[in-house]
Amino acid sequence: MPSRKEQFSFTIQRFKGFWNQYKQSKRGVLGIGIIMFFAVVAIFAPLIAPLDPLNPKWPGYYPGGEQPKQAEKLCVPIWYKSVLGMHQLSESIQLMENHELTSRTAFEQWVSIYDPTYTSVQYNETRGQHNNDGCIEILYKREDGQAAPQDSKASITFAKSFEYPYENNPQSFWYHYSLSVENKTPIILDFPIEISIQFRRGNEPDAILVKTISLPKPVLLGEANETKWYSKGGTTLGELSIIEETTFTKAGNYTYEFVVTIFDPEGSNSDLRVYVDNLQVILYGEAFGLLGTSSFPEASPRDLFTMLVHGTRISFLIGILTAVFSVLIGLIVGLVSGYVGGLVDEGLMRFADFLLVLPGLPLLIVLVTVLGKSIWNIIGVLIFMGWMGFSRTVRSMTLSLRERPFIESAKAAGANKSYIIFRHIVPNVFALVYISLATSVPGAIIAEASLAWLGLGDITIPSWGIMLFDFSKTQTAVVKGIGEYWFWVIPPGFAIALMAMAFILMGFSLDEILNPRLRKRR
Amino acid sequence: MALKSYIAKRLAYMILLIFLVATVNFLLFNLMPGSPLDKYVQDLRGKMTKERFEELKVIYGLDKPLHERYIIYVQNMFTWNFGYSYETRNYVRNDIVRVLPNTLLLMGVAELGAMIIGILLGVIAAYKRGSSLDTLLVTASLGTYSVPVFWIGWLMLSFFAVYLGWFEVGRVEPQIWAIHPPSSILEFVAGRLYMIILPATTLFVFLFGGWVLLTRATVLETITEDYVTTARAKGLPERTVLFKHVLKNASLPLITSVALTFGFLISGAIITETVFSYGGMGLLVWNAIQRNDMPVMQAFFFVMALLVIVANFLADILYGVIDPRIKYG
Repeated sequence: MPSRKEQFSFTIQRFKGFWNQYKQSKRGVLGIGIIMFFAVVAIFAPLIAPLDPLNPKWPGYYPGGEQPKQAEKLCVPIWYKSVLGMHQLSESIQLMENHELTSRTAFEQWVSIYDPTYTSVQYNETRGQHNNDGCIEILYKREDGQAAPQDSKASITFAKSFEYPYENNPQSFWYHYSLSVENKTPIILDFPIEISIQFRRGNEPDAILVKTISLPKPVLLGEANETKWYSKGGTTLGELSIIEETTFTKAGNYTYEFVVTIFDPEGSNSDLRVYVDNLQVILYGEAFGLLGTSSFPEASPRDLFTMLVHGTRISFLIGILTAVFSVLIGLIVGLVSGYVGGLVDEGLMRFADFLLVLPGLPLLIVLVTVLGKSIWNIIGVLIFMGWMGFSRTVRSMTLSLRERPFIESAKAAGANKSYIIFRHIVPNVFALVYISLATSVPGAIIAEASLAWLGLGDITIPSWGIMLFDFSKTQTAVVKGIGEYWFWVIPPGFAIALMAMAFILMGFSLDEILNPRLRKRR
Repeated sequence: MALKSYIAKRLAYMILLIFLVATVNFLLFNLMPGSPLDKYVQDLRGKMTKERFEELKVIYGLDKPLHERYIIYVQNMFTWNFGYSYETRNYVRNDIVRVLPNTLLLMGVAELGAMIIGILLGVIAAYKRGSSLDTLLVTASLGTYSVPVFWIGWLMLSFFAVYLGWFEVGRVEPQIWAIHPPSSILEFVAGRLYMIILPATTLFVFLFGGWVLLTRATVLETITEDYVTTARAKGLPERTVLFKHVLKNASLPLITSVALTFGFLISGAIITETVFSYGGMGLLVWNAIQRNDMPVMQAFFFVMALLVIVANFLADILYGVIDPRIKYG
């Protein structure tokens, strides 16, 4: 018996010999190269594209309603700016780096404007909404007998100026604020506090009002009249939805102003604190990511580059699982059918014939409809429909091997059936296994894409087919063509084609080397 | 006599297969959890009264026990009585009879073109084996295998129909026929062909690679035979050798593969139709998928399987007739 080391070096040698032969085929080398590239992308997908592929959200703590989306829908690729010279395109901007105000520096970025007779503003280090970090504290106090402020209200403005460097206006904007009221004396007004959100262009005297919100008492204090946080995040949809266009008409300095108005007619609030936290504004630009964004889903358009990168994983999963299991089933059925023969052979082969005669896609459609659209069902159905061709090949190989003298001598030596199958027949048909593995992958990848296109894909996974399905749902291809949104359509289709092609090339080259029928002719 | 018994045997096998397909089709749709109707009405849950649901069950014959339903079902399948669509309330057979010719036309045009051009290119590739032309043809053919057909369709559609505006898409007949019906048969044929060019070209791109590869392989196998060398030695022109001696003998597997790849052709046609909204079987089933319309899907699967089975039967017969070497039985 050769030692393990000898066996290992023999394997290495054999592989080297095989590789030297394989190297001759340029197509084969190209195929392997492409597959390796995709494999690297698949393995490092979370590093290459760290965003969530299906539901990308803007990072950060935003308790007021839904987490803001990562980017606005139908953004164009960011490199349009540099490569195509479209420098006017806007990008997303967030107003505050540290909107949770965890440090005093963050607080100091806000300029506070207020009437010092009644109010004062300071940084509170522990009263913040999240993790007891920092927040802004407004103190309003009117001594007994002191006159009410003008118009019975006191306004405190927090202003932060920022640079808007893009010529084009943003696509949309999103704001967020959190508020908490602590009262020493009972509040009797129904609407004690009002919030205004406004922008100021350069040093213009008039601010552009976006929205004014009157906050009713139950919202601020709850039914039980206790101190709690009220948070709100949203867009201006429906009110002044063209604000992005009318406000940001040119690049320059802008100021965002968040105004808190405390109402105090004679004899009402006279001693209260208002805490303000999580002030944020996001201006969503027109350019995002390496391949722009989709228009679906509305609440969080997908970053197409991220989806493309993560789709590599799904395609590998579908392709390889389907190939491995259908080849395995094909191998087992072929071996049993060929070696055992008789009724078993007849039954198995008739069943395979029956499945082979059924039209592929219609059967797929019916099975997936009946079983449900999960990715595991799709893979299962593809396996179920993929083993027949290979099992017939293995069967015919087994039939001819069975009659060879070396099998006969093994039998004469007293080897049992399973020993002969595993030690003598399997090694002889194994070359075909590699070929079949490589050629089964592309069919599975394309089948998944086709199912997705027909509306039978698993919409909970970021596959290339689903990317194309998302696009087809917009009906843009039929109405406007795909020219404008090429970055949504061309990359996934091309990726499918490239990956399928790589496996086909590999299978084709393996076939030339390993298939005895073809080798003879060369 | 031998041929007759061969045909009879094949015919019996075909009928058995059709029966099996009908059974599978029945089992698939009836053994899944809940009744076939449940899936359809699940969106209407709460909006539909219990009485109305029972009423629907009676209408669609779902109140009878399974074995009774099976017998009725098999009878219906063999008489092409597919019942009524859940969605459109149409009699499914009428829908299928209306759209099936459109699909057959599309498949026929595309397959014919793919065969002619694919075989021609395949012969050239085999003849110039090892040249860069061969490499190019083989790689391009492998490429058509790997591109999703709906994607090719999209590219075609947006370039030729939307960007250049050369073609009309979304229907089977030109829109203008609604006002001015075609006056002559020539105009009718021209109009139909005009509408079919884009989908057929898409399907053609999807199909021709297979023909190139198959032809190349079979021609390569024949080209080394002794009689070819003899023909060359006789001094016959190369073209005569290639097309009269080689291709004639290599054509046998090509003819049968028309039937063997029929399922593939159907798959391509279904998807192509949905891209161009070309009113055939593909569009019919696409609409049914979107609405869980079981009777339509059931009928669709049965008709498609029937097509493939009949195609295989015809191929077997053809094979028996043209190949004198075949042993009947």
